[in-house]
Amino acid sequence: MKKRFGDYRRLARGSFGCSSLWAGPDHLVYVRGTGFLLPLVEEYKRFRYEDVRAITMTGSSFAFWMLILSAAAAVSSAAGIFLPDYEELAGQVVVSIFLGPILFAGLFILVWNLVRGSSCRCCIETSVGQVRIRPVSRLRVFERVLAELEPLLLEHQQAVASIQPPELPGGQRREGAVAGTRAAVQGAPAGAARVVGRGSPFLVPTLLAMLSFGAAWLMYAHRLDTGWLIAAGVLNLLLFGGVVVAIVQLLRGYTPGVVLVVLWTSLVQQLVVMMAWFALYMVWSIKIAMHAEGVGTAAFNELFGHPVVQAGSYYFSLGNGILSLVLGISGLAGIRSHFLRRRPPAAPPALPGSADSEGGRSEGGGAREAPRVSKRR
Amino acid sequence: MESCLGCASEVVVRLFPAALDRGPARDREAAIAPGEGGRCFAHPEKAALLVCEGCGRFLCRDCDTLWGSEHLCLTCIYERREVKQTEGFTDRRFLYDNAALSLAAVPFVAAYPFFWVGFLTGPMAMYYLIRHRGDSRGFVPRGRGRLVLAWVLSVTSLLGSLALLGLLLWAVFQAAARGGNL
Repeated sequence: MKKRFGDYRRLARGSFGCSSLWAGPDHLVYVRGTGFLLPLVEEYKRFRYEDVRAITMTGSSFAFWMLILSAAAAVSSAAGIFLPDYEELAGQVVVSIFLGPILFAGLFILVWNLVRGSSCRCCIETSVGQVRIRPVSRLRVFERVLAELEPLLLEHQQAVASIQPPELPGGQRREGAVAGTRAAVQGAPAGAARVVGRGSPFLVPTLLAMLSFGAAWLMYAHRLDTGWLIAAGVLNLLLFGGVVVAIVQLLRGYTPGVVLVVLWTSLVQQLVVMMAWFALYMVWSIKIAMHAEGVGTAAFNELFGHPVVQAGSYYFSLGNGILSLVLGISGLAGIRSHFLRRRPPAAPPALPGSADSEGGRSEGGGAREAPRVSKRR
Repeated sequence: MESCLGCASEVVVRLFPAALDRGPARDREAAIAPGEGGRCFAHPEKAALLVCEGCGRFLCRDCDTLWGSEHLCLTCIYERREVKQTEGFTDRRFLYDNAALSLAAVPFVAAYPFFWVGFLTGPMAMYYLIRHRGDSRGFVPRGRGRLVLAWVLSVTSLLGSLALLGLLLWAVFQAAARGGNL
């Protein structure tokens, strides 16, 4: 993706270029892509520099859970490849073809996540609402974006910079804010404070599914077919539920970054498997042909020790397993975002003794969308 | 950096001078002001204060919309955004090149058991590529790499699915001819 074009300069970009933040001559543009695999629709939100009231950052636990997920994927894949005592080299080759891409993807995401550092949520607040800026998802990126934006915003807000905040006796403002927040938290109904707690409910089931996938591989490698059958049953149930929820999520037009990572990993894995499968088949066929023992299905069977139909179902199970993971994560993420959206907005704490408690946020503090135009009143 | 009292998350809030401006929007005077007696196009009972820089209509304070540095009426904004799709005014855009690439990639993502869907998605991707070949490809200008990749994948998936179907039919006929199973 370009870093600069026309009057615009890129400040931040999200995973796979789905969303990005651009600084223009007198406004910011937040490009939000929605779609499946690739952004199919782009939505543009523009913020005039004069209208930006605040930029906020809240720490999140996304990086921590991403670390656990990628480590689990890498470890279970590596275990599937290296731990079992394969009777034939061909078996290990086939398993490596399937699990190798997942292993490398897991390691890549692990390192990439560590390099990018702590995660956060960034929001831009205007007079009529607050918009989360998804590309700014890391603390390091936030600091860089803030450093670039601060002079721009201050320069464009010189006209209003002369307005002074109401004077309060020393320390009263901060003490008042802390007291108001504490009162809001303590006075809230049970559970309200926990709603914004760390962690995400969909990640534990996903982690368990991935671990069961790895365990299933190990059991299969040790010829424990019952374990494989149980795992396949669980994965197929996940597949069914995942398909239903993923369709709902697709209709809502939002795919989280994590799901995109998994989807693209799946794509690469499938391509690698197909190419490797075809190459092995061709090499073996040529070898058999040179020994004049027949070409085609017989060679295929000899390589994998199964008739063609069994080999097909074997691959089918693997495909289903991977797809079930992909769709399961997608669906669970959808459930999570569904519940998060239904969360009632928290009331801002009042600042005792300041003008905020009188006028409040009468200009539309409850609105969630930023204005696309600056409406003069 | 402070900690939230509710969830203990780290929080940074950077306030800007606009946060203190709690009254009506800043009074931005238009460059052109009609003479006394001008009336708003939409509200004849109100005095006009500005002129739309798109169509020249007289506007009252309620009808004026400041877009960038231009004062425009809502009709002009609608026309630029929805009808002319002027760059800088659109609020959403469908990305046909990405749609074509996604469709072309479906058989590869759906894996071997569903590779035959390339028979359907390949032509659909080709339709998008041909029908919308000249359309804008999003806010950020980009090259033709995705279009080329979409062409390659759609042709590959179409040919591959046709070959797969042919192979399947051949195997079925062979098995039927032998009177046995696959």
